[in-house]
Amino acid sequence: MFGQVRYWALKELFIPLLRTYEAKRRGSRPRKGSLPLSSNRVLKGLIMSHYYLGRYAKGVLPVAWVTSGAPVELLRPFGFYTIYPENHSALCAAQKMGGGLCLVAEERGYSKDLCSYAKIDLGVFFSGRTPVGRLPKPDLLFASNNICGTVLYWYRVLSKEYSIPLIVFDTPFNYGPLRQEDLDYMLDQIEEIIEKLQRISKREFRMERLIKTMRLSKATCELWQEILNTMKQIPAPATIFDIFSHMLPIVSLRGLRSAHSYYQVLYWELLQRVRDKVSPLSEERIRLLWDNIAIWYKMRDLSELMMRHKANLVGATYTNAWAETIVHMDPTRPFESLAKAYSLVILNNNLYHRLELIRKLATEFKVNGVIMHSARSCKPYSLGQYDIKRILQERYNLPCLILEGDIADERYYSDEGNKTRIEAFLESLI
Amino acid sequence: MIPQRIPYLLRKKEEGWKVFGILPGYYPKEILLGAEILPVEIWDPRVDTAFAYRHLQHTVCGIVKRAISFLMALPKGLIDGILVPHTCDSLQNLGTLIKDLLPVTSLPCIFFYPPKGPYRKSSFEYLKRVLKVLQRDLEAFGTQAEGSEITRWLNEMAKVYQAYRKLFELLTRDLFPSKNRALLDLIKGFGYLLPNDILEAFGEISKEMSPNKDLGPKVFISGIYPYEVELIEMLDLLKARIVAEDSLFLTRRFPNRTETSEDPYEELAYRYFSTPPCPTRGLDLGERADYLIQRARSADVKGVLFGTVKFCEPESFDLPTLISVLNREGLNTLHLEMEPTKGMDMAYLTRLEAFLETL
Repeated sequence: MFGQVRYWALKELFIPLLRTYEAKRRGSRPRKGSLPLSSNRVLKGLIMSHYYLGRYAKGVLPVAWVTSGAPVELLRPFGFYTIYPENHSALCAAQKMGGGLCLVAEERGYSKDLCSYAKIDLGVFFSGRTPVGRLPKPDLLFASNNICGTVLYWYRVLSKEYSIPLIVFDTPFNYGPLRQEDLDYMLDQIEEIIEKLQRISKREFRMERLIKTMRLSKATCELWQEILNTMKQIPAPATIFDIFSHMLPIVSLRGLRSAHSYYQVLYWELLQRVRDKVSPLSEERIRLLWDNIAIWYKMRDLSELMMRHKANLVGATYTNAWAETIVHMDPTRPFESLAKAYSLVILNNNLYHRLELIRKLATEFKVNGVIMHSARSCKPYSLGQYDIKRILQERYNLPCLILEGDIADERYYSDEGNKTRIEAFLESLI
Repeated sequence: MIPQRIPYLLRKKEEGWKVFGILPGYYPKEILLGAEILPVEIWDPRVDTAFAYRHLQHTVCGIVKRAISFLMALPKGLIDGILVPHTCDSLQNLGTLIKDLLPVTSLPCIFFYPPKGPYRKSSFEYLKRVLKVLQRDLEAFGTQAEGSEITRWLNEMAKVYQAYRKLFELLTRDLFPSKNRALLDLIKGFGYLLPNDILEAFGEISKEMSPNKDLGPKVFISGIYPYEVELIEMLDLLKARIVAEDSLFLTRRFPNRTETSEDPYEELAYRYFSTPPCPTRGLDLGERADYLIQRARSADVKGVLFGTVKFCEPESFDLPTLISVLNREGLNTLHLEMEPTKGMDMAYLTRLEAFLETL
């Protein structure tokens, strides 16, 4: 009872105050020469309140840990408080805690070659260290292998360690167009998942709640798409590093009102910049596309390096992933559209699809070249990049650079080597 | 005497068989055999892997590097098609890479996606459906498997599983007279021989059966593919004997079914769902630990040797938990991480020797 009162008091009274305070507070040190978005402060309040409230959710709401590609809309009608370990790992990495937490997992026997998001999460599990104070222990794990098989192996470990159930939404990989057999399989699974969620949450499933969530989710993803579209303007109103920083709501708060409200604020700010022809760069001489997950611990350095060379990363296959399949989201056919929207994402699709997507984005965003982050951690995103690069250069005359690194573990990033490579690449584009 | 792989498949081609190269993982061998296709599994071809680095990051596992190098250097006409089972992220991307972006696509490429766990009713129904899709895909390629033909091969494969089980029983009872190297040939035969040829090889061996006089420590070996020749030779050198195994190459694909069906697709599905736990299928980690303990006890071994391939995620995630549970149960463990493209140096031998002493 006390827990419930505390949770609701925090949610209704304290959190709005916290957000207002954060929105008015001066932001952190801006990147050299950059033009910080004023929405950053609103975002900070949103992130803080999400993790702060999470600390008190345990025992009041069922808590689920969810993978970034799982159809979270299915959990919302049951009132789950959702935490995204991948997102939390990115947050740790951005605070330069990634390598240290990976080391904790490695000391427990986990191979240094494993995904650093997973290792950071395991490091947090073993050490309790996190920049957000404390993560609520999960009652349920919900994963989908539409982004990788890794999440499945990782969540099996969590399931054993926490002795809690793991629900997997199995999305057959699309070597070609989506097959009817695969769609039927996913539809059957959704029904089974709902049954299981009813048992775990002890709440009855109500279709109208799912439809309402899906409408909100769709509207948020469409807004996200509009935000990305503003970057097609010359000059772009922001950099991809700004956009990366604003991904948390689309990943972690999808299907919630707060995400939609936040993106309205961000969208209007970007739109205003477009109208006023405001750019974070004094001159946008080079426009680039980014492929793969961000290098979270190097955002500031890379951003400053780009700015020095008057280059702007204006688009990314990664940010596009939360907008690409939204056309399939039709709340009047909830199960089918969930299956399609989640199984046709970039990482569950073949490499021909990836090649064509990069070509399409390169044309739409009018870029001069592509930077491909070959991420040690992420095999499904990285394996195939060498040949995509070869084809883009040979067949379509689109210059590409492969940047070796890692998404969250700073120990696998060579500062000097990559700086030289990027500079040489940028010079070749002028 | 186990026939050598390449001469064997050339001979089979002359006899009218089509040959498919199969990338590692679970696939329904019986459907291919029913369509008169000889499946030849590509786990460890002896090839120069320098080529692989033009297409793959160095952080991709040696099995995948070898596979791509082998496929790109393939003499024309040696195989008629490629089957890619969905096993892990790296093999998944290798499949689409060879189909969509590399010139090896002149060969027909067929894909097979078995459902991932934790299993539900839908997994069973889906598997039956995709088994039929596979058959349809093979028909498009020009071969047809009748239901009765598949049933015939189901029966043959059941005998093969039985023969291998018997082999490990004999090993446990010290009745297999040969060294690990000879055992390795028998094990590898599972990846390319027709069932009757496997059974014939077993028949020949059973004639020579006698108590093994060279009794070293017994070892239970586990991994996706722990059969690097260097490792096996090191075990021979140290007089250790493999008496039980848990690899995706062999026994993780052996069914332990309790239900049967007249319908070949249903029977194949029953068999798939009764195979031992494997991380590539997403099964429960606790169940896997229990399974390994039970196997170790029944084979009367005191130690488990985990032979993993560097950069193999499915297996590496399981190991810390497995090692801790097995150690708690009084079973010694050794984890050797191998890099198939680089060979094994003496440091491995030293570690192996120390481990065997504890047994």
